[in-house]
Amino acid sequence: MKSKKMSLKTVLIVFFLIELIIAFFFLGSTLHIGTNPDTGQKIWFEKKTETMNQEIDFDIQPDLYVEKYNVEEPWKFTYGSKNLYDIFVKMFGTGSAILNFRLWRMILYLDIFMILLALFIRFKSSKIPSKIQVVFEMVYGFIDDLVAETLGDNKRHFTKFFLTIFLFIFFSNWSALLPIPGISEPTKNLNVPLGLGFMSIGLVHFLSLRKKGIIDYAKGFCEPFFIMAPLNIVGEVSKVISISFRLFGNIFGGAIITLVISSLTKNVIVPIGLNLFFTMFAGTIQAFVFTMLALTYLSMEIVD
Amino acid sequence: MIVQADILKVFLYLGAALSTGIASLSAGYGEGFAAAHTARAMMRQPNANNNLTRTMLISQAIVESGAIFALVISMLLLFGGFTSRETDWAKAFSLLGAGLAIGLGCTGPNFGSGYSAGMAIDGIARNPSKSGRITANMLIGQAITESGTIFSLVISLLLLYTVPAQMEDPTLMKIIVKSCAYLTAGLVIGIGTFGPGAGIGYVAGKANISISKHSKDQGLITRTMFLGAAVSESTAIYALVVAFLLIFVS
Repeated sequence: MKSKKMSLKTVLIVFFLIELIIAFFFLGSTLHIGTNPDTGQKIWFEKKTETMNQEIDFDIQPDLYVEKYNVEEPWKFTYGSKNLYDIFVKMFGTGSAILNFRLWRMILYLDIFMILLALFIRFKSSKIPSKIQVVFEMVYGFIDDLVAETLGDNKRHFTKFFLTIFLFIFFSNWSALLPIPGISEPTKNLNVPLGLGFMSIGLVHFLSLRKKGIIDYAKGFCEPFFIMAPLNIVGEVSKVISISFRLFGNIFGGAIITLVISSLTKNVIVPIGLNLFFTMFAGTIQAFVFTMLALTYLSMEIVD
Repeated sequence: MIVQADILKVFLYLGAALSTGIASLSAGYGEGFAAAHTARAMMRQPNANNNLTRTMLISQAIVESGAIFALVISMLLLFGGFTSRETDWAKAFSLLGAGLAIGLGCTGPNFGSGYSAGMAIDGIARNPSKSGRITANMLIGQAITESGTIFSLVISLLLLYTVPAQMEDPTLMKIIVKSCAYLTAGLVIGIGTFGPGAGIGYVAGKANISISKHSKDQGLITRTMFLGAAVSESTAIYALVVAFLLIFVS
């Protein structure tokens, strides 16, 4: 018990020190990783020139931002190549191409990270477990127990789906800890939580349709009277809205509050506490809540 | 019908103040309720204080998320660059409506999830060995309690970002009607989610107590809780539908 507490303290102190260094030494400037279009450097520091209002504008309405400030080379915001950006412009239009480019790049990074992690744990696993193996066995066992308790012992094959959802949301929420522009949480973009929500609720309806048959499934919408059917359908859609906007609102809200308060305090120390709460604590809880809700909605339909 | 920049600021500041002010009122009460029950529970089960403190912190984080949504809407109203464009009266009222929607809208859910948290902590004090199950049920209960807050957040974001800054071919009557519609869209979702939020919180709290008494029937209790919550939630969905109609079809 004592060593457990000590290790948690060590992690917190290391995190605190790293943030302190970043806060003091690079006050008001940010670390860039990529290729600098002007000098060709791979890693460089740059003084922040944008004000807080500009950053919020850019996060929410990139279309208007590009228009309002007459940005000449918007592809520099993507920290990627110009050719790829041109393809994105053809697909999405000028401003939204930036956010879409960043989103796709972040999702690609996360996918590669998760696949490598899975392979690493798979091939490094042994009978005498290493520390990282113990952690992931605990996580797997925890979700497996939840699934078995909620859906029943014979439905343990759903564990993989819910574990993937949990780990994806968890890692994407925690990716905000890297202080590199262009790396932002994929869950901050509304499209990702909406996609996850549609996937979870769609799975529920597909399995319910397969279990009940089409007539009983349609009867479920006509309760208690036939005329209530439109409102029942709105109720089903509102499930998707509430499950996805909960995740989106928490992560997006945390990002905006961190941005505003850290620029009001000139990035001194305060961002550490905000990151501790919004990213590490709320991010983990929201990932768990999303998984639990998807699991419970599924159990409502397929458990007798 | 362009609003002067100074008068637009009055609307923005009023919206920002009302949203965070009203939201903090209920969030503070909810978190205090959870903390008070934790203090009483510790007297009963001093050995389980680790469990109790952890559950209290998690539940308070969830209760607080309503206030965080309100704070975000305030920040967006204050720093979101709404003063930089010329806006007409309908947009100004929609900005005020956005603040009112999230401020009023998280009142009921915050009271409800605070109650649910307090009851869960009582349940843990009664039966500390089942604290994992009770905490999981508390999280689900608080999450569905909060759907009212989420609906309000959706309406607030719609009022902030889908309402155009200037109307096409404005007439005086049209602007009066639109202003009224946007303001009442914020009010209907704000007032309409009060009852469902508090009600679902009551359902979730009682379910937490039941699980501590009969932890074998956890699946049945959770499903019954969901059924009750879905029925109570239907009135919040009516409010959401009316708000959508007011924004898009008025």
